[in-house]
Amino acid sequence: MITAAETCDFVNNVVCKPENVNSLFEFGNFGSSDISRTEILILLAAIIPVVLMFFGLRKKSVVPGRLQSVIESIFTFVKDEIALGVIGRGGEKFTPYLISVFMFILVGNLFEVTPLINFPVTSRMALPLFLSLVTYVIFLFVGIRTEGIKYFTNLLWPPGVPVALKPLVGAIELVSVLLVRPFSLAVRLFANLVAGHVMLSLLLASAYFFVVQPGVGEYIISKAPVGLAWFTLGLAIYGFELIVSILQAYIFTLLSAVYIQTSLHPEH
Amino acid sequence: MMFYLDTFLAEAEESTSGVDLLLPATSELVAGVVAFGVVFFFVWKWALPALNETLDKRSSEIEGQIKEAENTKTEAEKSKQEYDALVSNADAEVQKIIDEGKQAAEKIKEDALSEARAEAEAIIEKAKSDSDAEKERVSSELKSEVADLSLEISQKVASSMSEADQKKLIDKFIKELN
Repeated sequence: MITAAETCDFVNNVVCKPENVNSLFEFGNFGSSDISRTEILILLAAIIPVVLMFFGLRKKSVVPGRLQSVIESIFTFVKDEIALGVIGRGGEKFTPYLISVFMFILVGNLFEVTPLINFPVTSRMALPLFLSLVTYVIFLFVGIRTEGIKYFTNLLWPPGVPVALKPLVGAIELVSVLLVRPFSLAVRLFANLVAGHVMLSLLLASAYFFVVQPGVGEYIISKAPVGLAWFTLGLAIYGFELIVSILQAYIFTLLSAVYIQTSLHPEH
Repeated sequence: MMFYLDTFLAEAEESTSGVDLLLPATSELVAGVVAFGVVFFFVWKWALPALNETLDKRSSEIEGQIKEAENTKTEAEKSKQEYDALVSNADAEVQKIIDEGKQAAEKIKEDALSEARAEAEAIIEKAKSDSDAEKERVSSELKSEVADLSLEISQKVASSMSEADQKKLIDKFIKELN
């Protein structure tokens, strides 16, 4: 990011503007290949958790080491608190999916605060959209398998709704559950990570440019405190984004479980 | 890439380009599907079974250890009871030996005492019979001496008296004897 910015001519151009906002989130391809940095990072978001899980669970020792403890805690947390805690009976079937979602999103999110990467792959719509569509398909499938075609009628007109309200409730439920739900699930994750990434980029890059103003020597001393202030704020937001990364992975997994639960146990 | 706020503000006004951000790039979607597929397959087929195996192993090991501890405890309690029994037996044994010793000593003392008593009684008895016999002997000796003396005296008295006086005296004796 810094390198790219330094190509800007600050003396003649007051504002260095990229051609498109998307260029903030897009990177060039590796060498002459067709694979972009984002795609490599997406694959890394799969390889890293797989490697961590492999080394964490390989020994199967009764007295766990550090990595094994961490991986075991994550697994048992998702299994006990989300899969069994939220879905309840029958939740164990969805444990592999929920653990995968959590690990994948967590690592993808944590790229945001990983030095030298500083780019959450979940801030690209592809991942949140794909994962929320998988959740969508799962909860529709589970609903149809549990209740048959009645799933849709119960969904649109929950038992006990007066006949007069049925059109209104049906319309609301149709939009909120079948249309908006997958989209909101995806956008919640996506928007949080985009906002975090933009904020961090702004603060830390501002800090950099106020302290090291390329090409203008005397600028440094007068503006340096402003840069340091930006940097301090940037560091605080950095810690905040670390929490957001973990929290958003948890929220996505939790909501997936909640949606599956409503389909699996419609009586609740 | 650039980072100035102006940049973002300027871009925000250009509504057409911002929407692109919401549309997934096909290549990234493919990468995402593959990546998530790998993670899911790994978790499903290897990681979760491995974790379950570890947890089962752990719980069975803990159970085994608890059982072992219980066994050890009961064994310890058993050997303590045995030890206590041994100690109390030993105490009883000691008490018995002491009692027997005491009884033996008592008996010896008793025997010695009774023997001494019997001996003393025998000595006393013998002394008594001896003294009685002596007394008897002395008194019979005295009696015969007294008889002799009285005979001698009476002869002397008779020789100095007349025949009439002797007769009178004899008569008097006979009278007194009667």
